[in-house]
Amino acid sequence: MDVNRSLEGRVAIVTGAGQGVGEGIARKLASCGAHVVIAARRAETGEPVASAIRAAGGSAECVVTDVTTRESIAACIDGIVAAHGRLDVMVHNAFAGGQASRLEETPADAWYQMSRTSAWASFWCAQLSYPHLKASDQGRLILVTSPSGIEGSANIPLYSPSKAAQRAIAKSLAREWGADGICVNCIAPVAETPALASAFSQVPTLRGAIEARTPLGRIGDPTDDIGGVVAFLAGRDSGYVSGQTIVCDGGSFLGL
Amino acid sequence: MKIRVVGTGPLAKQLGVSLEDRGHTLVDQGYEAMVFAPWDPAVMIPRPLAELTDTEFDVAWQQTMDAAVAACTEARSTFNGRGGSIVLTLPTTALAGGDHYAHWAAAAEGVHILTKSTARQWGPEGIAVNALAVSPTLVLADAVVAGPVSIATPAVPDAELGAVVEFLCSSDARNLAGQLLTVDGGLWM
Repeated sequence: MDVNRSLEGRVAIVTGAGQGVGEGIARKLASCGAHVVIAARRAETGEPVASAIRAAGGSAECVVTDVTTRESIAACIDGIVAAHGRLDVMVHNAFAGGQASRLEETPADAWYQMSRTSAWASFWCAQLSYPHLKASDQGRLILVTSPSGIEGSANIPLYSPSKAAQRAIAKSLAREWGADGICVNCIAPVAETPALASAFSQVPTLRGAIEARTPLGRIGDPTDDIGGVVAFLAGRDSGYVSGQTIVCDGGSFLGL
Repeated sequence: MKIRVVGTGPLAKQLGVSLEDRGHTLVDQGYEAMVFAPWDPAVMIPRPLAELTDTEFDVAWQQTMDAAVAACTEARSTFNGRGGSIVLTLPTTALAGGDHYAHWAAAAEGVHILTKSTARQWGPEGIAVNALAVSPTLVLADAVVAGPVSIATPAVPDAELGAVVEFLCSSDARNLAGQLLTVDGGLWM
């Protein structure tokens, strides 16, 4: 377990925490003392992550959650608040639907799946968590976007605007919720995940292209490289940071 | 030049008048350039996120993005391999965020980054896709509620949008790809 216990007593929900970046974030938040809710679409992926966190001495539970419906997100949040009396940190990370294609050939259902799991789910996660984040003395909404949401994508063209929407939502809510003491931020990670492995299989040149552009020369680890940044954004030390996107990609994108 | 201007709001009308004044012809078919300007204060109503309905989010985010994708793909089809220009407009709310405007900021930034994706995919076909950011005062129902873009005063009080759109639609801009030109008097830098 991490010696940093800055999130002791906090309750955090992480969507899409059954694998990849979400799992890394969940593990890190738990190691910092938070009770972490593994909001995963499938118990087969979510339960093992929760079990592993508990086995390591942390506190976690899995709540099966489908972020493509308002009702499922509401049930997750309502249940957690009923059980624990609070929600301090909402991390929306889940995403699905990205397949390489030409824009003019992208199937409508693929586009709507991306839209649903990014923009729509960000809206719902934000709206439904708002009263609880407002009640917390350290409310944090963190949206996991992507460098592609800043730079565009030649491979998955509609993935990019789906992720871009999250940055605009974060900036808007940073303005809107600042008076409530809630900080709203994004991270844009590049990490070794099943999703990136899938992208590499679809576009074989992608790994080499990313590594060649990355000053740190490697692709990030979901827990150590990404989770730590989210733990900072979830904690008290980031109390004057809002509306920002932290790009966690080893220095690959330097356009800000 | 034959240009299609997509949109029925004040921004689209302003751009249409300006382009016609500059000698261009507005058409819906057989065009060489397409300008996407759907933003309309009549529907860009501020709403606290806590009160925002799914219908309002759908109108702002989903329908705007669907319209942008449709307009772009239709333009590519119209260009039919001959190349052409696409200019996607957006309020700087996309970049600065907007108090009570998360839904429209999401749509605007989605359009902004769609510009980059299409520029990357269609640039090799000779299609120049770029974006024009305009002042929120031109398109939001209440830009004051959205909050200030800057603490500064405009450096260029009377920015001429039509001149910039004309340039982005011209062959002189064929070397630009996925770029955003902000014409708001210099508030957003």
